[in-house]
Amino acid sequence: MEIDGTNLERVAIVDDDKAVRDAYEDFVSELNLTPVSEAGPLPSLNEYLLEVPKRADAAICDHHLKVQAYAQFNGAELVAHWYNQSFPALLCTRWERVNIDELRPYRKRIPVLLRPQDINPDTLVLGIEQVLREFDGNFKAIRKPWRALIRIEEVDADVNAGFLYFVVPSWSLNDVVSLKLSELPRPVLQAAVRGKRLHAQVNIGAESDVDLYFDAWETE
Amino acid sequence: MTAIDLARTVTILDVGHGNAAVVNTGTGIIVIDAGPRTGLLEFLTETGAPKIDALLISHADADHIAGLIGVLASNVVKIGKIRVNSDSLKGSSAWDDLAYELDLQQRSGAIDFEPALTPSNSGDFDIDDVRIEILAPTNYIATKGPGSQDRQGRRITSNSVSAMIRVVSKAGPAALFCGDIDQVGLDSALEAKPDIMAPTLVFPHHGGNSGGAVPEDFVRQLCGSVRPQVVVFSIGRGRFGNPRDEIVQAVRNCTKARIVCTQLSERCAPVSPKRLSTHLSPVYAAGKDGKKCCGGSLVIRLDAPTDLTPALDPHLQFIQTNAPSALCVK
Repeated sequence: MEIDGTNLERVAIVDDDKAVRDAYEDFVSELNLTPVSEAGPLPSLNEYLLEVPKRADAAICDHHLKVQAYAQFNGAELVAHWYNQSFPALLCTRWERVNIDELRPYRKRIPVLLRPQDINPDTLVLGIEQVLREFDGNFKAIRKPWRALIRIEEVDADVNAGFLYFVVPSWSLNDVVSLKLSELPRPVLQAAVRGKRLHAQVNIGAESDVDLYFDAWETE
Repeated sequence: MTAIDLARTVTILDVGHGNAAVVNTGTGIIVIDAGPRTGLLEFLTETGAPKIDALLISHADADHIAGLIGVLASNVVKIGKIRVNSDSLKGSSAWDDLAYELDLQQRSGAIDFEPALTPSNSGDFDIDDVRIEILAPTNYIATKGPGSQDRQGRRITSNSVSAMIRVVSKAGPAALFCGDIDQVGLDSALEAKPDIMAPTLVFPHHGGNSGGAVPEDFVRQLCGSVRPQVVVFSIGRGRFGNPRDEIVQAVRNCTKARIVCTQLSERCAPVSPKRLSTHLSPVYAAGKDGKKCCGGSLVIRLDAPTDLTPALDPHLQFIQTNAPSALCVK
């Protein structure tokens, strides 16, 4: 199958649950592609990053991979690193609060996030197409970064476990977004006080809080 | 780049629930309202607009100003004049966010900002033969301001001070933009019996409630004065249930104008079309990604102001296929 000029034959399926891998295998086979089921335990992140692209052209990957020692890393890390290598991968997870906070630091490099119930042959093809287009600099409106204003609402006291709460007015005037303080650059941490306004690159076309990512913070 | 020549056009953008329009005079750009989120930014970058000569904001609601906060922060396009009426009722941080960005840019000399947009400003934004007429808020309503009362004891709201803006070229009036003007603002604007006729009327408040007015009376008064051939509802599919049934019905009762919604109301079609229709104009529309468009973004030729894209027949065909019991045709 050719998607956006890239030939696609094999799709790796990375999930600790064999039943889930089997279900995804069916979707991949329906597309006349070859599923490559990744039985664990997986090697280290650095090894695995390089191994999979040798036996597959794309991947679909669960977020929670540390279950039952299947892997020592999570899916968001893996997909984000693959993004740097221009290896197309889709991430799959339930949109629970804890997941969103975990994903946020990697979200810029996770173009497609699917819920388990949304995965089917159509969404697989559309998702891989979207990732490949992003590699070419062709962002969907919901993913395109713009320099945006950020207004800080609250800062937790605990730098290690706390959060920064803020509003992105050009995205939504009503929704407060949170980011782990431990994930913020030091100058932002130092500048972050209630009422302060900063700028950052944000995909303000995002439809949902789940899709937002933040980069290139400016404190002045 | 877009596949359509936008020189000498007015583009009424599909930005979802909100308003934004771009007037391209051939040598300059005037923007009327900035919508929410990135619709205006996407359109301006897609069309390669180097500069906005004037950006006029009808009033202080988020679905008209949030896009301006985004455009100012993005630094992707230069802006000359920015005009918006101040609104003391909007004590929110959001209104302050806009003031913050405006102040930053004003201090660096990047923009010419004044918190005033009334009929006294008509003529200030004209380019070539294109006149930008400010028909409301009247100086009376603007002076009293939101939170006070008019002579009849009616409350003046943020919507009452909406700027009503008519775009006119040598070929005649092209379109009338009403912001979210309500009965109080409209009554005041029509007191001096100004000429507000225009072939295309962008209906106030996205076809929602107009501030306690009887819908039929409000629509009759507005449409009777504008005498439109096209009435546009700038709506977001799934947001706020607009346009309201009684407003659409009232429009149909008092005029034979074509009705165009930018997006397809869920009340007209509970299920989205499976494919993006070919009737849409080839310019940015927020609804294209999710196949939410009905009319999408609309393009009016300044030199043939009754020439609207998408054309009537293919649009009607789309409606008959995807929303046969739509409010505008049932």
